[in-house]
Amino acid sequence: MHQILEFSIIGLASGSVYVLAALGFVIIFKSSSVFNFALGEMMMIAAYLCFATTVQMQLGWQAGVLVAVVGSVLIALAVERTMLQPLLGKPVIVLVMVTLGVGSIMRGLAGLVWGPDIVQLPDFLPRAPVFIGDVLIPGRLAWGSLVVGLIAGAFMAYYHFSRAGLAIRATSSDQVTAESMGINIRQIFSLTWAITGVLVAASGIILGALNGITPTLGLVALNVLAVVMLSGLTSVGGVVVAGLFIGWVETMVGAYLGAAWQNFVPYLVVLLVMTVKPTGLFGERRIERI
Amino acid sequence: MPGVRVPRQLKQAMGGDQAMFRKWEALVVVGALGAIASLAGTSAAAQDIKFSLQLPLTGPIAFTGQLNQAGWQHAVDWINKNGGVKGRKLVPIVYDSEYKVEVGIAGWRKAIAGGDIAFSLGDGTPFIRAVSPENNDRHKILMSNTGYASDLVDAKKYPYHILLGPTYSDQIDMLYRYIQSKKGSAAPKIALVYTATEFGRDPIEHARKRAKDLGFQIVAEEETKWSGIDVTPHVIKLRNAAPDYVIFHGYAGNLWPEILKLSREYGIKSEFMGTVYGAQADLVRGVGPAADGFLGVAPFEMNVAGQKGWAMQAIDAALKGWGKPYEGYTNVGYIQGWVIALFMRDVVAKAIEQSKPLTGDNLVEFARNVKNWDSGGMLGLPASMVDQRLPYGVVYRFSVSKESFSFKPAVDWVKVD
Amino acid sequence: MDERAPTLRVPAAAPASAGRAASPPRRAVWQTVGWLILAVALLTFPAYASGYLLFMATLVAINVIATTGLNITVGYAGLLSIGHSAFIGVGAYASALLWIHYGTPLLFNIAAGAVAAFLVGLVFGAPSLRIKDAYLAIATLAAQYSLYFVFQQWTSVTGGERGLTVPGVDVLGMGDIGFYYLVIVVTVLLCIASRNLFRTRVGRAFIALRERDYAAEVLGINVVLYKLLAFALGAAYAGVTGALMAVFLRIVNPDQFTLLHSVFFLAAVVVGGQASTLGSILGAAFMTMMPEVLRDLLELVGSKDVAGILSPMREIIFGALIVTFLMFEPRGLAGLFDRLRVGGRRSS
Repeated sequence: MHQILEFSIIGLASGSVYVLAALGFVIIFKSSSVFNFALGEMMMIAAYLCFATTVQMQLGWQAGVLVAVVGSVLIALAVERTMLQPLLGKPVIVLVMVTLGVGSIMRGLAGLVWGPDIVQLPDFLPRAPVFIGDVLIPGRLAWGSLVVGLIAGAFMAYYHFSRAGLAIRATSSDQVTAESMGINIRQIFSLTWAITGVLVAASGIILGALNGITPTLGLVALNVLAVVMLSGLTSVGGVVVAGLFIGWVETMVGAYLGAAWQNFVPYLVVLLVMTVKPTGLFGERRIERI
Repeated sequence: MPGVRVPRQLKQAMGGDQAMFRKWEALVVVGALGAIASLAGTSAAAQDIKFSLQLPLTGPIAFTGQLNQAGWQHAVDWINKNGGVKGRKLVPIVYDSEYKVEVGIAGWRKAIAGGDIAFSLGDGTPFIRAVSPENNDRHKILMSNTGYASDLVDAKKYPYHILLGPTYSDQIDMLYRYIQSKKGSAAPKIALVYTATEFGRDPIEHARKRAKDLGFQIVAEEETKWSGIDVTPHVIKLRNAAPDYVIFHGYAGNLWPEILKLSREYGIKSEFMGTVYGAQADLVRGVGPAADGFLGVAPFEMNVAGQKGWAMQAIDAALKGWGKPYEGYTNVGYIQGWVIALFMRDVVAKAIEQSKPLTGDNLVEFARNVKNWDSGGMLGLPASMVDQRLPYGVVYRFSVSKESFSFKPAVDWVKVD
Repeated sequence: MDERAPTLRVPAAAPASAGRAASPPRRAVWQTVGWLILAVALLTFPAYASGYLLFMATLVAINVIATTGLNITVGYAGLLSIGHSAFIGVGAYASALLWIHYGTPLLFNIAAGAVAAFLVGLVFGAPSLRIKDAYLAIATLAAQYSLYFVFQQWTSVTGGERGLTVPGVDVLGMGDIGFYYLVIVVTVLLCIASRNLFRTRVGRAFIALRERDYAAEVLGINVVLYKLLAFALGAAYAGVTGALMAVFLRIVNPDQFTLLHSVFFLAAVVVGGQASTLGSILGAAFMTMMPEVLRDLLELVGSKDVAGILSPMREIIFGALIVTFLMFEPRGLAGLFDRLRVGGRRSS
């Protein structure tokens, strides 16, 4: 029993790493219906920017985080402005392919600049194990989840209580009406990408701190997709629950069924949910008008 | 010519008027691309000795692959400067296999199409398994690869393959030798931590069997993913099992360092050890003080500075001239290039001496019968081929602290039987 | 030819040829000559091509088949499928297993691969019935991972990670050349079939699906049936590709059928041109040859470390091509040719 509790807490903590990235994904999708396949690569670039500043230029981790966040936001805005805005209104496959292409470019650039080897961030998350009662949690995982929790909390507060958050929610729910109410839709799109830039920077740095950084760090984002599918592509709160759940499932599966199942199980869960409730556990059914 | 009649159905089937031009133009484009692709072929002269090397220069084991390439390049340069292969130039043809089998095969075929390949290096056991049926029937080229899979000693399945080092099973035996030497009255408790891949599972069966024969107790077997996840559950289980020794096998470069660090933080007191790819010097160094006391198998000498052997001195010079930070040691991936290049040089040289054509059948004969090969210090003993491999190795103990890093043999050069 | 809305468009050729009464017969001549040249070139190719070029040509043709299939699902019917390489895997394993265990003839194995993939396509096409667009994309992604899992874990049948070693097949006793001919014949037949599909009711139904599927339903088209069919048909083409690949490379293992391969084919569809058979051919050829051409160009430029930077460079170019084509020439290479041919006039 104690084992299960221990594994569960670890699982929830590792799931929390997915949450930020999933949030970034969802708000873009909600507002502009764009499926951002480059999300993982954006995380990866942010992690590398932090690495470059902190380790290669020796400027300390605070500067690294700052550069990563700012850089990530700038890149997100650049992608949105130059590649996505001109293509709004085109069929979905076009937008999806563009994000796939962008992701590919980012991976290639990272490979060229930093090479394929794994690089490590210095330990700015304290390593000392944390005790919750009897249960031992590795330091970085515990602190990482704490940071995630804070950022996610801040984001949710912003989303629900600020004017900009209201505007985003309005746009997600009905673009036409929102525009007619005076909301500048294009600015909202840019805003959601910028926020995503911040979220993926945090997510990328934490993931990089836990597992090291390589150009393929972004592939982890595919598990994030499972999270998003599970919760439904439109539910911000649901994504948090789904992220924790998937992390928990992965850890339990890894501990009791073995490694080979770990990659597959999130997608198994997705498949099950898809057959039962295609829009996800918390998703809304979008009504399509002719 | 109005008189030409193409059957209407055929014309319609072909798509009517407009499609004609496009298919024609399409062919032109494809043809042009093909022409460009074949333009830059290999620029080797007729007398040159050509080796085809498939190396994982990108992908999950790029760290080793790029070291491999550097080692080969330096070795080839040195060989060509020092008389070549009986006066003939050695030309390596390198392809990035991205550690993917079909990419490696495509590169190999491209090299073969250029003709006269005397030797082929694969990027790993999957490559060798994939091309062996075809190579055994048709091309019959002498091969080796960068991996040390246990079943490569099977001469029936791999008649043209030679392994220049000990198999993973041999490596486990070397680690067990160390454990044996430390054994007190109680049965040593062992944990095996390996990846859920073919590479990872390769020596496990043998490890279990040998443990039983030697009276060791395997208290935990942790099969992990290959990369990118949280290792905490595995460490928790190691802590519960409380082994005396933990053996890592099958990792590229990540995951096991994290397991090691976390284990120390969890207060696990076992001695940690790793097989060849898990014990590359810079990798261990990168782990930091948690790796102090780590034991690793190496098939070649990794301490370079101050060595007497002629090859080691050449390597020393090459490393000094390379421009990368050099502190007197190197990694297995780098030396592997030198070992294979020099070994093959000697084998091909023998064939040339005896005026034998450089076919796989001939070269394999010479290779398999190498006795007491003078490796110039790269191997610590005069090496002879046993079951188409060189079953020799050394177990280093690493001393890692914040300020310093070094390693020396914990079990000196052995031949595995 | 734009197969997007065939019934609504005035054929673009009409205005051009109206003023030149003599051109239809001239066209017929050029057609025949063009086809003859193409046929001769394809037939005699092995005579002057090196072993390497023959290898690449065969590979291109095999990829054309898969791209054409994906184009049916994605380009014509508008269903986003990111799991295409998993269907290729189904075809590969099915045909390889038949060959290894029962020694059945190659054509039978190819057909079996197609059928197996078709059936699996039906199964995974099912989610497309209830969901669309982005959701469908993820469902196909789930298909990709599930099938990979099966390939990797069902060791007793698929050989697990090690995969299967496939004995060679000697076609017509001509070895590599014989196989090349077989592949060319199969590819040509399937391309013709695909093109003809879009003259039939089934094909038009696919196009209607893509444009407005609820309107299609109003018009009496059974949306459910045709969606499934579009998926399964694309998968069947992939199955043929897999069957040919298995014999061509003589190995089948799970790492040949990953997400990155699916994205490769999607890129081939986009870069070549959606909803166009010619586009499929161009796209497949381009994507297959591009890494090789890139490698040769880099070698000519003369850097010793070419091999190491090739892979990242390829990813950058690959991504840049996708983005550029999508932004500036959404109809891909086929669209480019169209423009060149009609002198810059858009034929939409």
